[in-house]
Amino acid sequence: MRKIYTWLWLLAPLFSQAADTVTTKIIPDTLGPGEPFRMEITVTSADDFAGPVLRIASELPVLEFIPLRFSGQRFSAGNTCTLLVSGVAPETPGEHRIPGFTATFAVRKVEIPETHFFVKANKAGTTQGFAKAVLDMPDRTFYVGETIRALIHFNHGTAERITGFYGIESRSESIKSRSTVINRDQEDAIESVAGLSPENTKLAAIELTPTQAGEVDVRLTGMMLVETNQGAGQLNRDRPFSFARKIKVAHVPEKGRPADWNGAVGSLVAGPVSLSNAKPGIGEPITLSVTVTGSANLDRVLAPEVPHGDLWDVMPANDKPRTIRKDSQRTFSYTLTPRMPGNLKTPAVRLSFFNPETKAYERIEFAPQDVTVTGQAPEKVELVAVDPAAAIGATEKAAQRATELLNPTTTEGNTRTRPNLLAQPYTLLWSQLGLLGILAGALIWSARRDWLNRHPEILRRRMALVALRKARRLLRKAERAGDNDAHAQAGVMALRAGAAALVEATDVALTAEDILRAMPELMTPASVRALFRRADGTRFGGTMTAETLNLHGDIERCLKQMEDRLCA
Amino acid sequence: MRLILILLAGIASGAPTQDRDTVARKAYLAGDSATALENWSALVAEEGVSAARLSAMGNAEWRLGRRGRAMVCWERALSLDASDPVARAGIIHATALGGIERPRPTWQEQYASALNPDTWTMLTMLSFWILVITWAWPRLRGKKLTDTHHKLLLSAFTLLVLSIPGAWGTWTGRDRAIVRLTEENLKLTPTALGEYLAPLGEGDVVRTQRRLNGHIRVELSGGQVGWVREEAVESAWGITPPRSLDTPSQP
Repeated sequence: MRKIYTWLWLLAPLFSQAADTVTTKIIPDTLGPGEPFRMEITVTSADDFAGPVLRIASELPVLEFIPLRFSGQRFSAGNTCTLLVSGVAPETPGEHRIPGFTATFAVRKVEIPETHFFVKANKAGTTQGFAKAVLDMPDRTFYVGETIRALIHFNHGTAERITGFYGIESRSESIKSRSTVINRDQEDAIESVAGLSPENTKLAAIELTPTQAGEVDVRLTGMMLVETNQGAGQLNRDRPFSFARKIKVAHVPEKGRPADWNGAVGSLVAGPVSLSNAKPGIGEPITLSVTVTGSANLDRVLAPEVPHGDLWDVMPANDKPRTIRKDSQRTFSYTLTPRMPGNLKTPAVRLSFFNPETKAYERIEFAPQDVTVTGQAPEKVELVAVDPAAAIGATEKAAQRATELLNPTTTEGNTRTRPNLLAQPYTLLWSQLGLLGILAGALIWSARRDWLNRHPEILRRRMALVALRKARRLLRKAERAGDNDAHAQAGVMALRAGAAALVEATDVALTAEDILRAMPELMTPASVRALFRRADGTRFGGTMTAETLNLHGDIERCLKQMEDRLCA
Repeated sequence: MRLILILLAGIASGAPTQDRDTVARKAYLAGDSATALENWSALVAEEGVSAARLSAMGNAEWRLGRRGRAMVCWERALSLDASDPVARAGIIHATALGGIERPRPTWQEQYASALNPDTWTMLTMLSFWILVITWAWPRLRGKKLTDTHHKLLLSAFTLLVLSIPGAWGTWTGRDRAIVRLTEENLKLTPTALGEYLAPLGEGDVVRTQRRLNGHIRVELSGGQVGWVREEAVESAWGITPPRSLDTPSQP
């Protein structure tokens, strides 16, 4: 039993978890807006830390309004370590929070809890004298590959002055960054636009390039050197600043993308074009340099391709090394070799780019240059060659024949400007199909004509039907006019026209009885006879005054019956 | 007087053309192919093309080392006159000694080379229409076919049967193009980053198929099939000199 207790006592440290005690403290206790502070994190552990903290600098949270910077650590007796973090209070009064993070030591990780502090409000009308950094960045949708130029304004305070800055970098995975130098004239221009005087501000620039689409976090950190006026003299300190923004990044649109677009995003202008020699000899290389200027991702732009031509051999472009290149311009140099003599123009160089302001693809073109190429084109290829393997005699004859053919003594012949018939095959095909259609129409018409010739009664009935309908229209007109004579004449004409086709007789020779024989199914024979008497009676027996208008309904029914029979 | 004036006007108008042709031929025989080409090109722009003129231009282009342009000239000369000896000799020279690859003609293309392409097309159309009209005309007139009609039908049918292979060979022969660029490759897919399949030489003749995405599917003389950019090849048919590859300025 005693042995067991001894072993448990020896192994206890292995099974027990070393408990770390972490306390945080903000100095000073009460903060004003923009006031720098120091945060002391005291970690007390049962075990040794085995060296200084390793990665706290990269694990500190990046907050837009509370910049933090790891400024050192000190070890005390009893395994106590104090981490010192300096920061700047936000401008907004109220309670603020620094999220928890991890401090990685050589043998363990220590979780630092979140810390709260309070920023008191300034009294109205009072100004604080703290220096601060302000990020100036366009507010719009950006594009993958685009170079975004962000400006950081360092504004002096009444009690503090910023004398410099360093270490500006982006901590976002999807953003590539590069600090750039601002020239004095550029700085003046930018400050005058911003409405700030050079005495009260300093300026830093950084180029950001998004590498993926979506909502991207821009996290920038850096340090500024602050000079504070105190009673005993001036005190210089460096102070962190940080920015955290979310920006929208999209891919450049595929619609309307030119085939020669090579990744340029921004706004570009064609600059000067220079030529090393405007009067070269044939085959003598010359250098064509084109300069593109503007605000774009010029570093990432591939040189525009200029293909070989019939007049020029073109070597691929190279541009000036980056060390001597200006940020806002880029020069591409092509080596051109003329292949033909004469007054030539250099090939056109074109560069397409996507303009994020107009959200459209645009193209610039460098004007072709006039070049006078002197000399005579060299004969590169012998046109006639003799096959060494050919039989003796045959070789000479073949060579002579080939020489004759390949050195034509005349180029006369039938000149033409009309393409071959099969050059536009669809035009030819449709014209032939059209002719075939016309022929088919003619054949159909001919067959129909033959069929009607074999069945003359069809044609006769159709003609009778046309005459009957015409007479019916006259009948109705006479009925509406109340003209008895015209009514009787039109009715008789209609009856005769219809019946003539049925009995194969001449219509004027038909009497009422002929019509009643041809159409025995007529319901009102008396009306037919009365109509005939009225129409023809004057010819045979004096003036007839019998009313026939009242028979209009009967006659219409007769004519309808007759029309139906003709159509059957 | 009027006749004399007309004759003088004719001589005056014909003189520059004759002079230009003479100058071109003299320059060509003297070895100045560039001058010869310049004059022949001007003549083509003024008067149009002829098979003989295109052949001569092909010779000059070949001597200047522009193999693609030379092959285009010779092929187009043959599309105008299949029996042009200069163009035939040029193509034989280019394929035998110049390293140019050209697909072997099929049997119907060899058959078609006996006559001009337009002649085959006309023969086919003519025999077809004689056949159709001889059959249709008596029917249109409501009469029966006579012995003469039957003889005509038989002749037209025979002519049609004989001309169809020629027309078919002409049709397949027009789907050919010449590689114009010096550094061009056959690609597996019709895209800018298509996988490399085989190199293409300037002046090589390929059979063309369908077009897609700015590329054209081609078959090489060895039977290999792939895609090539449309601007890298130029049709073997046409009535113009080869197109210029130099990048023109935008209007």
